[in-house]
Amino acid sequence: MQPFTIFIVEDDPFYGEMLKYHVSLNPDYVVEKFETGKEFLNNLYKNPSVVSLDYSLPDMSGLEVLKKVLEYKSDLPVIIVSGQEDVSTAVNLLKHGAYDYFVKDDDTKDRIWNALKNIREKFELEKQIDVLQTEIGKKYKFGNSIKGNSQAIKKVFALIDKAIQTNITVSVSGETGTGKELVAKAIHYNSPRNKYPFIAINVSAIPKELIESELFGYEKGAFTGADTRKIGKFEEAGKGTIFLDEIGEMDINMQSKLLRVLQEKELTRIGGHNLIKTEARLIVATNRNLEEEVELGNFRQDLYYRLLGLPIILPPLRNRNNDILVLAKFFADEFCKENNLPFKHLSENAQEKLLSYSFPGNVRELKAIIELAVVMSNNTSIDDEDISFTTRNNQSQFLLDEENTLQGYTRKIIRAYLEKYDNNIIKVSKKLDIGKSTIYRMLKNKEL
Amino acid sequence: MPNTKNFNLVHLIEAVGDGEDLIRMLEIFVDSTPKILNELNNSHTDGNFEGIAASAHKLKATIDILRIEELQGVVREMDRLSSVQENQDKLPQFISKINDVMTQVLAEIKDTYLSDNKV
Repeated sequence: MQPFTIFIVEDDPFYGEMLKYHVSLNPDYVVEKFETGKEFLNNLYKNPSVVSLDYSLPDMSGLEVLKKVLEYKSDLPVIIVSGQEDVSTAVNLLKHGAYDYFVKDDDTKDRIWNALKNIREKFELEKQIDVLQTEIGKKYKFGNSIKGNSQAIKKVFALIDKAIQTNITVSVSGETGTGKELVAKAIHYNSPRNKYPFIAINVSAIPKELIESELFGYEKGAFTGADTRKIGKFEEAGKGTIFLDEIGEMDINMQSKLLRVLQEKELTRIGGHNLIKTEARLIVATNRNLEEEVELGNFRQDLYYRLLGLPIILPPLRNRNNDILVLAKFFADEFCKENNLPFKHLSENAQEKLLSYSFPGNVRELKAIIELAVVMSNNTSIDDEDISFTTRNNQSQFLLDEENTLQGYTRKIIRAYLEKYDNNIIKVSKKLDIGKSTIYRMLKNKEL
Repeated sequence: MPNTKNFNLVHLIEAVGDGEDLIRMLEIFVDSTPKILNELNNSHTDGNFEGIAASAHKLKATIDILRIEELQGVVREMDRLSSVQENQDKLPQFISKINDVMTQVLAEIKDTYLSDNKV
């Protein structure tokens, strides 16, 4: 455990010793005393938890030392202890980032005692937050949260890695259940923004009349019922990440307001006049084809280009080959562990059954199927009869999920085959019994 | 513990108790104070007001802890005057007073508390 170290900087040996004695009464504190600014600064590398600093030192002023300390570590609490009873000096030091300012009098030692207690409590809470953030970070590390070895998912890993290294806006697309939010979380918790909040909003779940107040907040009295000021999600995210799921469902009027916020990097609460800077990173997701939505006039083209950033397209599970088995094993093990059940393996028949299914609900559906299979299984093996699918097992149902034109269906079928066969045009043309040139032409015309 | 007319250890005893730590604190006082008085006198001789203010500042906390009431007002006034460099004619009087009283306090503390402990 990291010790709670207090540095006392005091040139009066008598007063310094008295402070040291008093603070050392807490056996959990490690206390070191210095009589000059220079001696103290030379020991700053030891990373004290708190500094008690005398304002008047023989070689440097308290302000000079304070500035150097905060240059070294901006969040290091520095308590100024001074014989100086001048209010303007105190105000100036507090403005420059001192944690507190105490005049040397009979109560100083008690004030320091209380300040140290408060700082230590905060210190412990911050450590707990660090531990929790590390845990969350581990949970959302690629290998821990997104499982798979297929080429398709490896491409996704490579893009996530690129997204982590920059602040680029990321647009995640993929069918329902492919893990769009998981990707957003993996980017956030593995990026330098992981100390700040991850705020997820499902745009389709919020009535269009409320989305603006939800995202940007409102001032007191902005409308009937606005009894207090409310901070919006962008402000709440701070320097963190804001994840807008189902962005394709956003009302066209709201789209223009969002575009302005993204361009200006500032927003105004409803009913407010002040411009508020926003530093949050944006990740959006959709299961719609936004390009098509732009063509249909449902989505603003300028916003589409603004949001496109780094596009990450999640492959449907049916195109991830053996990932189905990797994920099935992971979900089975996880479920057994959570429910204190003995670990169960998938029989060969069960594996074949899983591999032959199209998983229209993707990973989410696989998880539900496996959890049920674990419950239904009577021994240490999950057999094919333990596995039951919720939908009919054919591609046509998946294709007919949405109404489309014949041309639209054709494009969708060819796209699905290209994904399935890793863009191997010769193979796809053979499978669908169409000419290679047809596919090339459609690609050239951007029909696919 | 007996008190004298020049100081009162109530506050110090409240902070560190009346055992070994009190003796250790008084030893530190006896060791460090002459040096501060010396710095004060040298600054005065050199007309170094910043130095006078620094010494006064340093003595202020010690004088308060030891409840040397006769000097509490003097040291504050000296700190103020030397900082703003006003009424310099009063400084010799203040410095002399501080030297006198502190010398008495040092002697009294040595006699009363440290005679058996000092070699």
